[in-house]
Amino acid sequence: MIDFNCFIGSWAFYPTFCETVQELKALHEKNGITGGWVSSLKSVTYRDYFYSEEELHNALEGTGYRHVMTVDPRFPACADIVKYGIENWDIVGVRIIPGFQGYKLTDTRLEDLCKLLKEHDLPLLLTLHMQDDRNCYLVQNVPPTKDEICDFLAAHHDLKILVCNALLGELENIGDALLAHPKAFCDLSGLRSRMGCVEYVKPEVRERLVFGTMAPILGAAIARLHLEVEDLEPHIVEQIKTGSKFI
Amino acid sequence: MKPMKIYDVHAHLMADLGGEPWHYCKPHILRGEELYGISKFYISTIDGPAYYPDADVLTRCNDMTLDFMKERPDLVRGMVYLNPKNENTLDELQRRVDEGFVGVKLWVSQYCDDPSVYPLAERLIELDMPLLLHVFYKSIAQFPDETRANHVRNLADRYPELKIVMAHLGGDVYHAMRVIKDCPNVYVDNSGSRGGGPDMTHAYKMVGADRLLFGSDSPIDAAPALGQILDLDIPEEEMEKMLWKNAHKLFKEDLR
Repeated sequence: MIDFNCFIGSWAFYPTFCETVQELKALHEKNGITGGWVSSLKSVTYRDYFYSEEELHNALEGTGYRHVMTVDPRFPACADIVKYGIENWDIVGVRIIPGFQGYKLTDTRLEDLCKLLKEHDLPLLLTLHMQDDRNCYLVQNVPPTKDEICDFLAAHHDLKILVCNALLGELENIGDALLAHPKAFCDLSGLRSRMGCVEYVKPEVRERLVFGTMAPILGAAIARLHLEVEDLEPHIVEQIKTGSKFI
Repeated sequence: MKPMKIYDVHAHLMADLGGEPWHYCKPHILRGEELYGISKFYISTIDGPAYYPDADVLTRCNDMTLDFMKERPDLVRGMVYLNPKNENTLDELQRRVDEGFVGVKLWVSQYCDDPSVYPLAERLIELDMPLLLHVFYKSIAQFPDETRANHVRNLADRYPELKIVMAHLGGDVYHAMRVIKDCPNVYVDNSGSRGGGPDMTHAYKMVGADRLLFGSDSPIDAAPALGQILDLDIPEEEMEKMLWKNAHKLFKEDLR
C-alpha cells in the first residue's frame, strides 16, 4: 500500500510530533503502508522553497520514499526549481495548494507550471485543504470552488492530476469532471462526512480513488480504515492501495 | 480491523437536517455498528437550525431519541438534549431520567458557565450523571454563545463534583487541553475533528488515557476519530480505556 499524499518537516502552526521520514515510516508501518510520495510541510510556508526541497531530498535519500515537490507557481524561480528537481532529485510529482497560499487556479503562472509538468509527464497534486480550515491561523484556506476545479480539469486533459484532501461533498461535486478527464484522480484523505464514507462515492468515481492520508496533518489510520471495513469491490480496494491506475 | 470493543460517546440523530428527515441519521448509527463494531452509542437528537431550542423542539428531539432507545436498548443510550434557559429544563430532565436517559447534552444555546446552567449542574451532581458539552474554538464561523474551553474550566472549577465531557477535543486541542488539564472532572471526546494526526497525541500527553473518550459525531464517519486513537503509540490497555472502558465507568454501564 502506497501513501500518495504525505508529508515530513515542521508545520508552522502547531507541532505534528512526526517530522522526520523515520517517524513517518514508523507510522506507515503501523498501518501496513509500504511506500510514500512525500512532500515538505516547510515548503508550504517558505517563500523560496528550494531550501526546504533540498532538505526533503536529502532526508528521503536511501529510504525508498519518493519526492513530491511543493511549489507556489507565483514565485519567480518556480520553473527553475522544478527543472532542478526533475534533473537532480528525481521528483515524481509537484504539489500546489492554491487555496492556502492565496491564488486562483486561473492564475497564468500556474499555466506555465502545467506546461512544464506535461512536458515531463509529471502529475500535479492539487491540494484543497491543509489543516482543519476551522482552526486556521494567519492563513485562512479558501479552497477552489466546484466550478474552478471543474474548469481546471476540463482545460488540462493532457495533465495527470491528483486532487488531494477533497471532502466528500467536494468529491461529489467534481465527480463528473474527474470522469471526463482521462487521468484525474482523488485521494481518500478528506472523506469523512458519512458513516461508511467511501461507499457514498459513485462506483465509477471509486475507480479514480487513490490511497493518500495527509499524514501527519491527518491520521494515517483513517484512510486505511475505510478500505478495511467498508463494503467495496476487492479490485477497487487493490487499485486504490497500489495506485495502479494512477501511476 | 482488529475486533475491539468500542463505545461512541457522541452521536446524533437530527430533527431537521436542512430538509432531510431525522431518520436519515439512524442508518449511519446502524452502519457504524456493522462496520466498526461499535456496541454502544450515546445519542442526542439535535435540531440543526434551532440554536436556542424551545421546550417543544426539545420534547420532539428527546422523543426521537427515546424511540431509538426503545428500538435498540442494547445499542442506544439516550442523552437528554436541553436548553437551560427554558423554564421546564429540570422537569424535562427528570422526565427523561425516568425514561432511562443517562446524561445531558448541551449544544450552543448558552455558554456553559452561564448562571442559567447552575441548577442543571447541581441536579446532575445529585443524579451522578455526566454533562456533554459542545465546545469549539474556531477561526471562522464561531457560533454566538458557543462554549470554549475557558467556559468549561469555569464550570468545572465551580462544580468539581460535576462530570463534564468536553466534546471535539475542545475544537482546538492545543488551546483546550492546556486550559482544562488541571480539572480532573473534565473528560474529553475526540468527535467531530477532521482527524488531525497530532491531536490525540497531544491530548494524551496533556491529560492521559483516563480522561479521553472516543466519539464519532455520527452521522459523521467514525474513521477519523477511531483512526486518531489507533495511530497512537501507546499500550493496548490505554487504548481500550479511550475506546470503551472510560465510557463504561463514566456512564455506570455495570449498573444497567
